[in-house]
Amino acid sequence: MSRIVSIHSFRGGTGKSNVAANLAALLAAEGERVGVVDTDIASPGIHVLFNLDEAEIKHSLNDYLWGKCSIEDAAHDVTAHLNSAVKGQIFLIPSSIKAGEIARILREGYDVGLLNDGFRAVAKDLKLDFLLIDTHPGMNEETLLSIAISDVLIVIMRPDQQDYQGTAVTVDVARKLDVPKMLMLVNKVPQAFDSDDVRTRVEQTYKVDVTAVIPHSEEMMALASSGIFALHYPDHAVTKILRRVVQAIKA
Amino acid sequence: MPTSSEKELAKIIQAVRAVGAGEYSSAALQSLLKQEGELGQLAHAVDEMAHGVLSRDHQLQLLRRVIPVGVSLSVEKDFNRLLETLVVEAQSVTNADAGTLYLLEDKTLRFVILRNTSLKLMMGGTSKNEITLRSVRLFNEDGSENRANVASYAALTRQRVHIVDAYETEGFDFSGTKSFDAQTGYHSKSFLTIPLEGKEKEVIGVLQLINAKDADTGEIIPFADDDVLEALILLASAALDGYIREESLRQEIAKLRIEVNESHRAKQVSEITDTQYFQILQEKARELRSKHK
Repeated sequence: MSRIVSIHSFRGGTGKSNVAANLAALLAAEGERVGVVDTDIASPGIHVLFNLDEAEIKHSLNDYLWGKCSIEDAAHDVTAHLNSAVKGQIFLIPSSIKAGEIARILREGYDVGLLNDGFRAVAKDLKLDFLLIDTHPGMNEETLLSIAISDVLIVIMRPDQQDYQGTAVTVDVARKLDVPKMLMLVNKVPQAFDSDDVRTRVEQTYKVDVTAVIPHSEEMMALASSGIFALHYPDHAVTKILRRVVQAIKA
Repeated sequence: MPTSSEKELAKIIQAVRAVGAGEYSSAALQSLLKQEGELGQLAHAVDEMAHGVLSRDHQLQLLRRVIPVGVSLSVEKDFNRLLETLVVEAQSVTNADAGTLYLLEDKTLRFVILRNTSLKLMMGGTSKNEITLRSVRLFNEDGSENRANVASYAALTRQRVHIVDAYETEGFDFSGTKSFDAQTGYHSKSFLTIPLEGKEKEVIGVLQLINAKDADTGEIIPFADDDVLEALILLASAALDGYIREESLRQEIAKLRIEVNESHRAKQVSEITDTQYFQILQEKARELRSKHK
């Protein structure tokens, strides 16, 4: 039985895709078969982290939603793209990065129910241990669906005024959808903050356990869009924190 | 047999050599300085020149010593190392066997550094040893000033305190020192306690130097005034003050304030959960989860 893990943040810019890609890589490093779906149809990006070129993308999630292909056809084995040997495997289902196709799907919409079917099908057919869903920020229908079917929801926020209100709404909505496990990650925390203090305040505000307080890392930012940080810096403090998140997902 | 004037000339030559070696003292020419003849005049000229050289030497030493320390203090980013450097340099300038540094926080002098050379004891700073000594409160329980402790006295009055022998001094409570001595077998004798002031003349800490040692005999002597120490304290106070200001500013910014508007929150949530889509989804999710259980 594969477990579905949604990675969500109410606002963009929280490092959501980056965390998703790193968690996928760390899971694969532990020998798991991992699927990653980019449901951020309006602003796809996670393919960059897996070094997947536009030319290599045969089929995208858009094609599946338009009935042009099966969901497996859109799954790309990116394990070899990691530049680092991992025991497991990673399959990426990218959203289309073609401007015309993005415009079309936003204009015409699609059957959100198909997403659910697709998630189930790909998890089963590729014998995935984990399916990670990189969600679209905000609370649109596909995000709600992703949360509703998740076994684990990872909520990412920054210590930033712009994130506080929306994160509160996300947490409340997720509770109403009976998500079995909710993990809160506070990301991009400036070095000046005391991480214990941040943890306490966030836990008090949202009544959710904070799984990780991730300090802002220049190294991570430098590598952010050109590879998987956790594989490049296996001993970095941030990588160690991310490994703890992996343990919390599996627990 | 050398004549007496030859002997006296030899004394002057010796004195000139001593100036060169930086070891001159007027005592070397004492008998000659009283004479009025040509040799006496020569002795006076040598003595005057020697003092000129010594004072220039001293100024040079001041520059050579204090400027590098000042620079290193002002660029030091590691607060613990900054505190430690301050104590180490003050000890070195005064040839003090021990030194302690307190910082004033919330009307309390908090021990931050303790160094004792002959006991090979280091607490705080870059050493991994925690400070086990108690902080000193500036005020007693009844609100009166705690002038009994020499460090709090210095902080309260902004005055330096010279103590020749802690065991022979009345008016100060050296019980902390005495219990330290009893535990360690040390003997604390001479003290120099200096309040450190910030830019606004407010006291930010207290530096205490203990047991000045005679450079030659190692005997414990009272602390003497020293220009190098004065310059060092000025620079160190400024560096410390700058660091503390920066730190308190940083802490103010770093206090995370999470504000959530609760009435908006409830409204925003119901805007989502009241939709038909959400309710169907909620229902389906429940079914799905119970199926997989």
